[in-house]
Amino acid sequence: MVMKLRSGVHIIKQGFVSIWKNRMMSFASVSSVTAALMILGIVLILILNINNIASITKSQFGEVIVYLENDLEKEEINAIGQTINQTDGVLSSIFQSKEQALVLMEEYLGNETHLLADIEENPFPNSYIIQLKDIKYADDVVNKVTGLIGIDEVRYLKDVLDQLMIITHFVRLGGLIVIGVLIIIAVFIISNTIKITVAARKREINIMKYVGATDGFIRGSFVIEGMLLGLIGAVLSIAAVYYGYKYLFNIIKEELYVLFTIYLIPYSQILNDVVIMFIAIGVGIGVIGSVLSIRKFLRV
Amino acid sequence: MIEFINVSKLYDHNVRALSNINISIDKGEFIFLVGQSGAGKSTMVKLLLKETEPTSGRIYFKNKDITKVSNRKVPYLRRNIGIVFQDFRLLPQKNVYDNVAFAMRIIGACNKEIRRQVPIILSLVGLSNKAKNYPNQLSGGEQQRVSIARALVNNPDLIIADEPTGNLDPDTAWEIMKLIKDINNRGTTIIMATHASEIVNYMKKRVIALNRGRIVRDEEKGVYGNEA
Repeated sequence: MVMKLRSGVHIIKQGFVSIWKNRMMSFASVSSVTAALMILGIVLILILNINNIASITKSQFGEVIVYLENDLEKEEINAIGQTINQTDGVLSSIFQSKEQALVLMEEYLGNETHLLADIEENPFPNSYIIQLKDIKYADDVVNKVTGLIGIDEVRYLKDVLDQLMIITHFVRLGGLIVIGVLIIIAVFIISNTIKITVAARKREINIMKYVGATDGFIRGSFVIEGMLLGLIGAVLSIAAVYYGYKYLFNIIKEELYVLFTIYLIPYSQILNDVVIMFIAIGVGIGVIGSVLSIRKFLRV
Repeated sequence: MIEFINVSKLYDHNVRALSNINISIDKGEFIFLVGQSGAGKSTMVKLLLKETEPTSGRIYFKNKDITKVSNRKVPYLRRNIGIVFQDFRLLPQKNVYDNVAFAMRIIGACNKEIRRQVPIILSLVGLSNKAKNYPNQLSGGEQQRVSIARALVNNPDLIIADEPTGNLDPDTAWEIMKLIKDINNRGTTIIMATHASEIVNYMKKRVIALNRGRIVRDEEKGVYGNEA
């Protein structure tokens, strides 16, 4: 055990030494990891933002408004409310009376309330505003509620939401495919680079075998090296993606429409996800790349 | 210490590299393995290192049938054997000290042991003042001394030298032979495959001559002979 630990410490130290001694190949590997992860970062940020915009828009349009007929009794109105609340897919509903609707309109108009002065009778109907558990229940809820007695009209932005759902779906799917392809390309590039590195060090492996190094020892030293290369690449790409996004975010905030930034994910929020994801992927491709490429050289 | 019992080796296409080899080598012996290229010398070396398996027969090393040693255990077998190659096989990016220390690190020796043992071995092969040099700064003879030091550093029971003087000029070759002889005098068994007839004739050690995969001669204080 002590022996294992000792050679473990030595292997890590040797990993750094060997990265430095083979710095041309190390540079090539690190650059390819960094490049792949940077593209990944750009795609990721795009997807996260489109998702974010979609969910903000969804919550703005994701209401079903039920306008009631004018001559209902209080009991009838309450009964309709209860039926709505018991419908599948309804999260909650709020009753908005004619008077509340008028007040809201007056607030909305502000200084322009004189526009309402000529109106003798309150023109607004009583209504229920339904929050859905999820957009996918919208059609069912609308159909059920429309069939109730005492309903004047049911309104919701079906077209907008349908489009939005389709777009979000494709963005997610497309994003996943792009990320998957990128990871495969990255593994391929890295394993190729490491393969060249390993081939250049075939002699070293050969000597190690003759001196009595175990396969585990030899593999260990290359895997550690791959890990370190992946880690360096990850750190570089994290820095590039984070500061790049921060820079863009600030430009959009200062130069363009300020309100637009509420749709963007703040740069401080992406850091955590990006750090964990990139380090995991960077180290992962480093390890997989070296395991794949060293396999055939171990048969001496 | 080493025994070949009815060992035969057939490569693909029925090429017979060794047929029915029987030899026994005691601890501390010095063996010259002679024969033309293709006579089976390197196959014997490969069998001892378990780089390849015999088609039939058994090979004992330190009373253990190494044909039955699993692949996973091969590294541990090789730690008992030091190997010296014709082309030295040093790591170019490591200096002399690290090339030798490398062999100790691989088997998990601690820094304290390495710092004690490597200078002793380097002084034994006469390279104490070249410890910081890199292989490309050394002459062929010096490089071969480094590779001997590396073979020796873990105190193996056996050193196999495959044409150790093949790439060296005659004077340097004699110096290397003197060093190998010194190592043998300290008790390490030596098996040396060679074409250098002068060296074999001068040293007067046991000679095993191979021809087309058969032992044609095995004599104490032998000479190179004309069959090889």
